[in-house]
Amino acid sequence: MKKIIYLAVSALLSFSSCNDFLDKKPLDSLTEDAVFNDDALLTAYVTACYSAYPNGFDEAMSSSATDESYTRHGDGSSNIVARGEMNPDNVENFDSGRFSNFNYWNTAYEYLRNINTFFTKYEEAQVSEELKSRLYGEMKFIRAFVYSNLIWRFGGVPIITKAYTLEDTDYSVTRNTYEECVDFILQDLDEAIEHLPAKMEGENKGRASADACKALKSRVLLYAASPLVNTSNDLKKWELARDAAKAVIDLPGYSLASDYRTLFLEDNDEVIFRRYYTKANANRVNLFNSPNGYGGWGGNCPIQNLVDDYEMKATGKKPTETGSGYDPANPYEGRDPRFYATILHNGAMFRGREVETFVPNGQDSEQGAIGSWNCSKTGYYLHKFHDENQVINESEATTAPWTFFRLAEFYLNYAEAQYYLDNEEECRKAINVVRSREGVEMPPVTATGTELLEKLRNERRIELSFENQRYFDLRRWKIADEYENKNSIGMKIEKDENGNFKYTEITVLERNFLPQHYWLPIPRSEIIKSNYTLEQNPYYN
Amino acid sequence: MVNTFAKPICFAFFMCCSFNLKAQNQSITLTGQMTLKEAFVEIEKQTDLSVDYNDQLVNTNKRINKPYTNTKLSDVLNTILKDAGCSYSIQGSHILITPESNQQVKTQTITGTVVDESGLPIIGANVIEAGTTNGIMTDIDGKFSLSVSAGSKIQVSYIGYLSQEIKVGNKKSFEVVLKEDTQALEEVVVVGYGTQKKGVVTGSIATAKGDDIIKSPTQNLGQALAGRLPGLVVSNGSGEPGADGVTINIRGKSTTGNNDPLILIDGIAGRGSLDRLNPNDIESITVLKDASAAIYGSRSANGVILVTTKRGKTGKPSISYSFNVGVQQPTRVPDLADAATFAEVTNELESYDGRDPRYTADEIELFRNGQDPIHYPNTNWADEVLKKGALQQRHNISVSGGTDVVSYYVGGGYSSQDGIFKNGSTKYEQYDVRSNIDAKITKDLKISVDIASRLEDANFPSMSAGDIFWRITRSYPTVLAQYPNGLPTNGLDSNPIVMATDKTGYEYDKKAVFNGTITADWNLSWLLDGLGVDAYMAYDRIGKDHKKWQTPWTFYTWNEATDTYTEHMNTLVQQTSLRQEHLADWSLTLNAKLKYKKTFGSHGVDAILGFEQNSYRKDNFWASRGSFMSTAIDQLFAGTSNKDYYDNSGDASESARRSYFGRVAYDFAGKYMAQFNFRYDGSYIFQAGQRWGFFPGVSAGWRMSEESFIKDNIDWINNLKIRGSFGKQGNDNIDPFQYLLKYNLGRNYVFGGTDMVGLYQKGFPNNNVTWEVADTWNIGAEGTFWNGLLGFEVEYFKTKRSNILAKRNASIPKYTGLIDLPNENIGRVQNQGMEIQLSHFNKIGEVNFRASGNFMFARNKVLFMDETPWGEGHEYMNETGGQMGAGLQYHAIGIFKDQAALDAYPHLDAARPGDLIFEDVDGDGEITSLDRVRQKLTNFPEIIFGLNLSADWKNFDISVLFQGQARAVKDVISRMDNTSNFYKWRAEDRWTENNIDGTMPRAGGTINYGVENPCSFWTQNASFVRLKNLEIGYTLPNLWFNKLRISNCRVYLSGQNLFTLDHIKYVDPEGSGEGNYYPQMRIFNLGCNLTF
Repeated sequence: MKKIIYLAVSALLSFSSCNDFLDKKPLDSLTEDAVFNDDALLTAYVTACYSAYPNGFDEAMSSSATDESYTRHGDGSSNIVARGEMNPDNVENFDSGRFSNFNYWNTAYEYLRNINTFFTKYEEAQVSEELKSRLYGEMKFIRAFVYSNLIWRFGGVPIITKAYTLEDTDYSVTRNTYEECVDFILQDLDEAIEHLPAKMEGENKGRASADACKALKSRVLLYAASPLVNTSNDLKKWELARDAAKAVIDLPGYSLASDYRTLFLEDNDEVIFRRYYTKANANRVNLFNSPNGYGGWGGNCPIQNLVDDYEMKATGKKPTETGSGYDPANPYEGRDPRFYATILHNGAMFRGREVETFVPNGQDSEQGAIGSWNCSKTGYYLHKFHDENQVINESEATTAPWTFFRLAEFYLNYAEAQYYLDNEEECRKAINVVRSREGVEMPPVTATGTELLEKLRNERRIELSFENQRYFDLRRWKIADEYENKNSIGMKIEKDENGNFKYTEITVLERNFLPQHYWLPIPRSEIIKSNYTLEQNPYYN
Repeated sequence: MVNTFAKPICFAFFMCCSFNLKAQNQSITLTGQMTLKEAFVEIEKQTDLSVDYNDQLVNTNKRINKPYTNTKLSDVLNTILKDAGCSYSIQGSHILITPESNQQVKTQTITGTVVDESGLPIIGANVIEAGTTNGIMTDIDGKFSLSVSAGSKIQVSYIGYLSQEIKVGNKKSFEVVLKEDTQALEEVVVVGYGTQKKGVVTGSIATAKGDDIIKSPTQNLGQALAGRLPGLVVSNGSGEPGADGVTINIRGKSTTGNNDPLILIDGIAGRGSLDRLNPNDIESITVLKDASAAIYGSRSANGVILVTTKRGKTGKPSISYSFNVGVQQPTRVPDLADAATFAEVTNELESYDGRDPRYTADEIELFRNGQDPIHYPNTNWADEVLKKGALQQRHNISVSGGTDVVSYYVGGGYSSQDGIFKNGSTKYEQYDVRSNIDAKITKDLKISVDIASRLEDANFPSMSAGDIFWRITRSYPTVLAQYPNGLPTNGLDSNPIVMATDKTGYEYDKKAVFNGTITADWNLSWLLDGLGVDAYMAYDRIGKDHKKWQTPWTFYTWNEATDTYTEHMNTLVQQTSLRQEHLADWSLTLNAKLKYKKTFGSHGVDAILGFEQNSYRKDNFWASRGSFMSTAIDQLFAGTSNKDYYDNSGDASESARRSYFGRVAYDFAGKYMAQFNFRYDGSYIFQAGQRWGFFPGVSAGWRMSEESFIKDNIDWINNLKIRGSFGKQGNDNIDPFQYLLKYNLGRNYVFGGTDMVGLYQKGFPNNNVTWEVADTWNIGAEGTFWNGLLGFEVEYFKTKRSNILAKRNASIPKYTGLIDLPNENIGRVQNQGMEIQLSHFNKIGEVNFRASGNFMFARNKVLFMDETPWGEGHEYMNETGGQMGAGLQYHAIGIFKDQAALDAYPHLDAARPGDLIFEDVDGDGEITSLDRVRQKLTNFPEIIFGLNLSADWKNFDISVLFQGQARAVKDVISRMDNTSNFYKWRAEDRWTENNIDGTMPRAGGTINYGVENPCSFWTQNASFVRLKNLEIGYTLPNLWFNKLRISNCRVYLSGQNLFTLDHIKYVDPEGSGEGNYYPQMRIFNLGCNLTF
């Protein structure tokens, strides 16, 4: 009988012999070996790294942190920056939500680790050499772009080229200087140029090309020569910036687009590098920025400060200048054509009707019947990037591309470098190329000296508005304390019984700019976790 | 005649250990030359006994003549008392001396009635004079008459009832109420893989009966458990039909990871939560709280809940039908600001940003006085969208019975629950069937087939409840909800009146659940007495269909001048789309065990040894299309042919577990118990080589009440037991395959006009990942005194959880790129506390009264956790030493009343008058995140309690359940900026330039917004006491129904969450929900039970 018990027990235990019963594999992911030994998978790995750089289609754009626009949905995000309240403790709050591309620190380094992993493994990857070389170039560009976006925000940052693991025991780092970072970026870009075709076309359209590398080089060198970091005004830096800009201008196959409005919606020869979208991989730029009366959320509304900087088409003068020809009773008549392509004003024809930002009862005003909590407080809405062939609603996204680099910028980069190198003639010529672009055709600039500098800066403000440039421009020129201390102004428009409008300027936001805000603060938690080896930017506590 | 005893009778039960027989046999020595009185003194000296007599009746001056040397006490007493004409008896530690001549005189006749708790006479109850054979049985009316001697006691007993001993005294007539032997120690309780007699249980186990649970008229079984089981923390965060699940924690929390207990339904794990079980099918719910759960090994550390469903009993078929209909309404809907307040706040907000006022004083007055409700409305969005009450109902029918060969329980139920939206399409319906059949195939072989199936049908509008409540709580009160003619406006960006209806399309979840178990139980007594083997196979399958059909809806604008309305398409959803999803999962459990149970004299042995394995797989796929031409056909084929609007995907997962387990329980005479159980568990979650773990548990108990010094001497102690346990348990409730480096698809990017798939590393691997281990201690005592007048259970518990899987993201900087960190077995947490349960049963007149209360206190402490190196002087920020989940927040010490106050104290750059003052805790003259202080309490309560009262009188019965929590906090945050409406409370007495002493901060300001700047100001005491459940029933007299063959009919009114006493008046204190969620429900219910 004991035998029987013994047999029964051993029968039970014998189940354990087949241990592979417990051998399960995840059915929703791939293993590392597969990834680095397969052309398609390695390509996909690189593809995933492209999302590393910040596009401009956040709900709160960087324009609303600077003197281009105001968003009423920005109290937890861009308005904090505009009010001068940004500090090492709240900067990380931007990471999730409406303003996620602004504090780039965490995203950047997360992607950098993936990129660095690629560089540690690619040599042994069993994929075709041709592909390997191209992907290497693309990754070098991506890393350079990520570091560029970091240094433009934070100044010199720690250059990390290794892929940290959990087994590492020391995570402390120190910051490299701005110059070191620039050198590092240029090195990556020069290598990338060697591995990449000049242009990416067909199925590769949207990938990093050698031309894109050269464009990035120009912007990096321009920023590096600018007063904020080039404190001694080292002219060598301006020369490098000039040459880099010239190299882009001289690239074959590019020309200024003939329509400043569709430039941002369609493919054209002006574009050097942009991010495309499809229905399946889309943005919400229409929804975020359209007037409430059309079902939009009325974000990133241009402010009067910007509107006032659009010159009169006929005279090339700003409305505030004498002899500009500006009519305060008809403020939106006769302006630079780029005004209409960029800004929706009261009375502008939009999607089959006129925009109504007036009170009482304007459809796109705070008294509109539709979504009045989304109305503009400034009296304007953003028009740039808006594709009228696409819907404005929450259930369907839009596909307007985000342009990183287009030719016009490099004329202006070139003009700026030449200005600082005292070649005013070259400077004016380059500016006038942009001003005279087809469909814009503004009177040429003839100014000299500081007046020319003003014209140059204004041209950049107008031509590149809402393209993620103004925020950095004001800082690298070291004039943010002047412009970002000015309140954001809006236009209150009242319509009387006779249909006449009365225009009154109103404050929409009391702005503040403190000395520390030339750079973003490094999140305090990062400094603590580094055991204080990471140094904070100046003037932050 | 003074009838006093010379010596007062004293009771000292625990001190005095003498027994009748032993007492009589002890030897004494007397010199012989003494009076009887002196002899009594001498006897008292030489024994532990006291001699009691009435000196008026006993002549103690009589001398004894003879010396006694080492003579038996009984012999001595017999001789010396005989001469004095007296006799004696020994009762406890007393020798009672009585004059013989008085015995006749003292005989008396007593009469009485014996009834049960409901007052019905008990026929054939035994009434016996204690210590004699003198006795009688009660007659058909429960009456008896008996002659007994004075000072005696009678014992009344009847099978199935607790015996009672009653002192006769001077009383002539007795009403004896026998209590049913519910506390009976022969009662069987469910334990892991079996049952045990309650008397010999050594673990900490709590049980709720199905009959009690069913009193709560909730549609969700989980909600019915709150307050009913000691140690069970039940939190209900939503009342949305079909989505109203609860979270259950046993004895608090002891890991930063998953704290869910293991739930087994009829012994099978993985059959889902308790939420959707039909309460009518439940026999009992048992909770294993200590090492007794160790038999469930690697999944037991958070405690184990065992649900047992009803089975048939031998007897004639009993058919019962029950019907319930109830009305639900929210426990609380936040009170929001009215239009005038909103307008005032809007103006203040404008001024803080330097803008002009939005509204004039006249306009604000118009909002206030309501004279122009069309242009100056005061819209209460909650009133516009929510009904006063929503219906719910439940029907249930069951048949049970059995013969010697087959017994059966077959039940079926239907329930439905409406949502609280006006014209809303929210509705939950459920159909379930359960059939538990036991058949004795041969003398030794029993086969059971259990089948349960359920259809869950949850319907919602295509917009989520969160979306709808977001608009209820945030839409401006200054905006009309509908025009006077009833047409909807657009609200703000969408009108919740319409969003809650089927005009937006629909979303449904239809779930079909199948649970089947076949069990064979083979008695092997023919081989070895007490031996048996059983095995079962359980097959479970769930099929879930999810469909979301979204259609654009319209709203109107009104042209006042022409009085015309224009229809517009809404701005949220402008194309018709359909998404369809199918999920299937199946699970197969095999279990076999060898059982041995035998009693050798006083030694009882109960042992099992078993094997179990489970394999599980889940598959899921979905497809969608957009841009439907029309809303006529809600099927995928009818969608657009433009592939830009197609999408589909799918995934799968599988798991496997294998285990060996066993238990040996030993008891000696039901007095001393010891138990050992173990489980050897293998899990697919971990890497080969780290897959197997051993989890033992030991426990022991001493049932003191079985010792004769109590049993024979202290009659008011019915049961008294102390017990203790220790075990090592595991928790493998973590993501599987953390040891693998995984790459996931995603982060797509567009190249060449096509969305290209990306591939990225998903987190980081941890090669050493293993289970969390819990060392669990428990010490408890339980007892029943005075036949149930007092019952208690007291427990102290402590658990130390180590190897807690936690991420090191507090210390690893993000610039390392190590952002999606893996779990590592680094954490240690201790959780300890106590539980007290008291019960009382009594009968006062014709009223039977029961009360039971439970109380639990559990406090966890983080012993080690990855900690941000805050630096010296900032220890108040540490997580270690505090409660798990305690956040960091600024300490608000007031409101800056003016610029002078602002200038006088450190503040953030953003601060202005009217903002909260954050304390400069580290005293560095600046307010930074290093001034945040670790919270003492969390949203999870340290104390929970329940009080259950019930009574019945004649045909009426009532039961009341109070439930509550203490030492918990809840953040109540209302954003008061220009994006939305806010709580009325937030705006009351707010700081303005004209009210600088306001108790609430000014409107706006990120400092005052508790989400971005968590601060103590918004943290409120979340203690509450709630009338969880009240039921009043009436059983209709039988004679009304005799002709209808109804043997019993009971009607009742019941209610759930009837009222709440608490500190938070704005939202429900339970759970963490905060306004934008479907609130918890109060229910008023009417029900009827019929038995045929």
